[in-house]
Amino acid sequence: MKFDFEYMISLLPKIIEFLPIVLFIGTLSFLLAILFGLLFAVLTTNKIKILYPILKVIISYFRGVPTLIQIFILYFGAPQIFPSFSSMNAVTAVIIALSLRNAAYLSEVFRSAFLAVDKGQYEACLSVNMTKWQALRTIILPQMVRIAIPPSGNYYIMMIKDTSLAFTIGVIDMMARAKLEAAVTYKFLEAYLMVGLIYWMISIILSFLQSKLEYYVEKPYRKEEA
Amino acid sequence: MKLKAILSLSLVLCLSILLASCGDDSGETTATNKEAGDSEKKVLKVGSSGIYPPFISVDDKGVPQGYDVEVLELVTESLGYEIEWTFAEFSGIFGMLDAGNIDTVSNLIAATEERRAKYDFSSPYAYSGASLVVPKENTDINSIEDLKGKKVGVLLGNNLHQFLEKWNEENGNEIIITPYQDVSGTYNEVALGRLDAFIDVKITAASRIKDEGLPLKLYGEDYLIDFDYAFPFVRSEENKEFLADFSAEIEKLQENGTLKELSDKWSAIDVTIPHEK
Repeated sequence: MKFDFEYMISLLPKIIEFLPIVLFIGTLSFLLAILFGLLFAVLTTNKIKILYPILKVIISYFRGVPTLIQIFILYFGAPQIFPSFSSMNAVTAVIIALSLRNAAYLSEVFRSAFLAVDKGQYEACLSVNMTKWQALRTIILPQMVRIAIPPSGNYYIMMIKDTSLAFTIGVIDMMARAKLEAAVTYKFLEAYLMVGLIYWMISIILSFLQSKLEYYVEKPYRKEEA
Repeated sequence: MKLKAILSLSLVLCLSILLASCGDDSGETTATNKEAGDSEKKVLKVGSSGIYPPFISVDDKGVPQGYDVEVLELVTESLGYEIEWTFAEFSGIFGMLDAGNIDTVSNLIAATEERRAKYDFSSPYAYSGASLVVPKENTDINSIEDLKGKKVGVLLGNNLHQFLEKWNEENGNEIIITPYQDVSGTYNEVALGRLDAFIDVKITAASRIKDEGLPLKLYGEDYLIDFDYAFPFVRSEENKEFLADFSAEIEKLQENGTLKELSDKWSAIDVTIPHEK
């Protein structure tokens, strides 16, 4: 058993062909997760009646149950209770599962970002005759965004990697392609290493973009150089 | 103002990513999951792990190949059906069958009693059985009895797993059974000495040992257990008639020697000899 470097390189174009589906599922899930996460965060911080306890249970479920099982429950379990769910395709199921799961995590990130901004600032805003919405939009939110970016970036990278679970319900992604390739040649190590390297590259690029974004939102905190 | 700029910028960015990937996605599915076909033909949706050569695997271009594939193609062709392939992790395959995402499974599926209780099977198209993959220098594993106290790998949830669990239960639970989620690293585990043996279908094991070039061998000549391999369908009235036609086609291929030809083409051992009952 010898490591076949040439074979590994030859897999690159075959595997990278499935990069778009990985980015599509990962990115769309991430955007939806931000949306739902914000909603969850607003609802939980305001402790809205009836909704609050229900939401607590939902968040606890999404945080507590492994992703793979959530995908199974949604894709195979839900159609047994709601027959209309059976028309849902596999990609949709993965996106729903990933986005709701990570919305639960992100809602905690957003909640902590909100709590991190000193309450006195909000009160100060109101004291100078700003409306609630003005205070949130111009004072609180920009600070929240700055605090929430680093952990959110973490979740984005995690979600990109979690897309490899999609093959369980029949979505061919990079991981699946590598498995199918290696099944013929039995060179699993080479194939998996290649996939690992591609995922690593994506994560490096995303981290770079994140640092750019961080630099941008940090602007008010930097001393003017000019 | 700045926030607005960030927000609108990110919104535009997200939308463009979305649109771009949407386009890619639709292209992808048509290219990989559906063979371009005319709309008049009926479609048989077939699921597989795609990682079970020489019965089923996927070539460079993503086209399925192997003994199972050719048998299915011949059968569906004479019945006037097109095959639509779906590849998924084996652990998800039967779930997809139950949920109706696929009509049948092409993965050298053994028609075991437990499965027959739940699914209707076609006539068998292959016959083989279980064997043990052991290190080349092995001398002490010569029967299933010898596995007692040994660490044996199985593929999680397949029929060999169930067979070994059952045997173990009836014989004192002395075999240390280690289930694996997929076959990727399992033969290496035996070669590295982390497992004493791995239980696998003889015919796939023989070709894998040869192709992978590992210092392994099969433990003996006979099967630990015999299996008939067939295509499973969900039990329903509407499937019944189709299944009868489907089985008749397989039997025809068996009788006119086509199955034997395909077996010679793909596999090192003749898989078309029925077990003695």
